[in-house]
Amino acid sequence: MDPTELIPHREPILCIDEVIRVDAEHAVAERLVREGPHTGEDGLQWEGALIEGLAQTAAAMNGHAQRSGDQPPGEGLLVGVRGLVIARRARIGERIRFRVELIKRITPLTLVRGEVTCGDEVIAAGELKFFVGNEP
Amino acid sequence: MTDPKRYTLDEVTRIVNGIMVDEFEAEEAKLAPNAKLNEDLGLDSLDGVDMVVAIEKAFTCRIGEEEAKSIRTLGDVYDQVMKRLGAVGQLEGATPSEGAA
Repeated sequence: MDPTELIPHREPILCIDEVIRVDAEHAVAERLVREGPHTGEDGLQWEGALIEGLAQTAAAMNGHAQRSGDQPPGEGLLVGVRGLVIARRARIGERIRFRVELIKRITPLTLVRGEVTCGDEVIAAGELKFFVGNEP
Repeated sequence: MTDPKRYTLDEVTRIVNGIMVDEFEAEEAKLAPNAKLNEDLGLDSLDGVDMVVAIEKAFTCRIGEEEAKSIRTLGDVYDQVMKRLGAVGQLEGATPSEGAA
């Protein structure tokens, strides 16, 4: 699925290429890392793009929940990151996968566990917290 | 299938208070059933969801969204835990009202 069907992010800040699976409590998205605003001269993706990719994948999960009526509409803000470990940065040419799983939703806050993989290798993982609403 | 663990109110109080001190740096001297999570113990709205998750993990229970939103004081936390435990097992010792705000 085109992620723009679920999230408001657009180029150049869009960090996911495709939403592979999504339901009210899970989302999986993919990205082919390529040269551009999210990579450096060393051919590696910025760490921020990993975090933003997880955030946008979580946003896709919330977007799906909003479309399904499971969650009231609203825009999301990343308000916290906990226990995030980045084992390595992704390289240009690698296809990476973002997975998020809902830990708890107490509207307007959503807490998810996120993981970024490249093949079988986990390159980043941690918890992210979002405020989703119309009035911060 | 093993029986679910049965907690007394004193045990619930001890475990909850431990979480508040260890994970949210609440001042031990301020821990009381009528202590307001925000004003007295310093938890902000962003901490609330973390607190609920920590409580659920500690007691292997699930607190619903509406119940979680109703929590204002430490006594409310004790009450929610005792209600969840009461749903799967018997309460022992003091009644929940002794821990309420």
